[in-house]
Amino acid sequence: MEAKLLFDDKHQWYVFARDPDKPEKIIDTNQYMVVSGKESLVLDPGGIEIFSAMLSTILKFIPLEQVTHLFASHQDPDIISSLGMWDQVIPKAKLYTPNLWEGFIRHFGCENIEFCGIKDGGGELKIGDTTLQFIPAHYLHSSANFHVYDPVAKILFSGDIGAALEPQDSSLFIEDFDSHCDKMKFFHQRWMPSNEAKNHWLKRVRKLDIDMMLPQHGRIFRGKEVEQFFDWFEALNVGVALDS
Amino acid sequence: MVKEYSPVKSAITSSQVAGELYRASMIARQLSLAAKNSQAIVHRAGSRVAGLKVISEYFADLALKTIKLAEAINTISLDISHLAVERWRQNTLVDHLFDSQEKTENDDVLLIITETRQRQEGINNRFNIEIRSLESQLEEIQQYMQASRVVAVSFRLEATQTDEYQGILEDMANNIDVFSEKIKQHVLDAKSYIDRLLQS
Repeated sequence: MEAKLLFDDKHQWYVFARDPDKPEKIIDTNQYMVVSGKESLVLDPGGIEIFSAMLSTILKFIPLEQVTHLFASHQDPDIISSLGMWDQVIPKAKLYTPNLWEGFIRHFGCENIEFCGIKDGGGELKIGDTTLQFIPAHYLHSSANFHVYDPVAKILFSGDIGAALEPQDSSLFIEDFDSHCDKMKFFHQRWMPSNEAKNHWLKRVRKLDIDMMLPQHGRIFRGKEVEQFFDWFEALNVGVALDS
Repeated sequence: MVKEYSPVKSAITSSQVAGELYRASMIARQLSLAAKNSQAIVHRAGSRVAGLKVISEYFADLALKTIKLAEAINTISLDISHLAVERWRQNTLVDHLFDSQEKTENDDVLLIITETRQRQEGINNRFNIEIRSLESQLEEIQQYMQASRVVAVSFRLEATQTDEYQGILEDMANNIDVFSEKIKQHVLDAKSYIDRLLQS
């Protein structure tokens, strides 16, 4: 699994992605980790199929006892079906995820890890000396859904927003925004159900100072590509299956 | 009967070993750079450090072997980690099947338990073979590091016999020592993780 340091100052952001050993037919996912002091947060730790690759990759950078927090943007299997395994490996950790999904996510196995439900309005979480914000992104696509914003690193983890369906060996970063739009179009039109929710989210995130936007699938947005994405997404009609 | 180690501990151990060997392979690259530098010095100094020619070639070869071996161990550790997780999933399945069997007393479930047990055994055998092979490869890389420190001693000895290159050769010997020691430490940590698993 490829690992890259995205931000390195008093705290760090890592991306883990493009696992070559992943079974072919499961969707490729990007996992992220924030490390600050003796704590860390793993964002959307992934499905059960990539658990061993994730564990090995994380331990290249930090010891197991430093894996203290997990975050799941929503309840999908590619986000958090590995929970039952993390529950055995880091039993003292805490899981931050939408409160609404508690009864569902616990089906993946959560006997030891402390379940910390995020209320609909969002909130904050301190990891070491770093304060992260949970930004509501409900109905995009999941009915209870959060993104994570780091005001110091100016990074927005955007879950399924900004996702693209691409081959396993594609670059981690966008090289040409215009051609990348084709790879994002179907995903957003079909998986995102509501133009109202989309515009609500855009209004919220356009106020944030963002240098990098990190989706859970596809490529990372840098600099002006973030604003380009917001404009593209705003103009896109979503929820298209209703017309079929 | 082949010993069955806790799949949770096995998955953690193999990931920890992969982590240590990843760090060791990063340092091995620095060691390789030191080896290339030593060859350049020997080339530049010509007959004044003739005694170092053979040893610097040996060192360059050793550094490359170290990188390859560290990367190979890293790959084996990842394979072991996959096996451990697979065994873990099979164990969970068997537990659930036993629950189901208790409730239903169904012969079909019993048959699935038997088949799953056979698969478990196969995975367990492979796991045990791989972990032993990992142990011997860690031994091998440790021997490489001992040889690397002998190289450092030779560089120091040669340094005393030259004026112009004395400082460079001493620095080089120190670098080789530091890199070798760091790699050795990662290997020892990896070995201690395995020992703890095997003694559990």
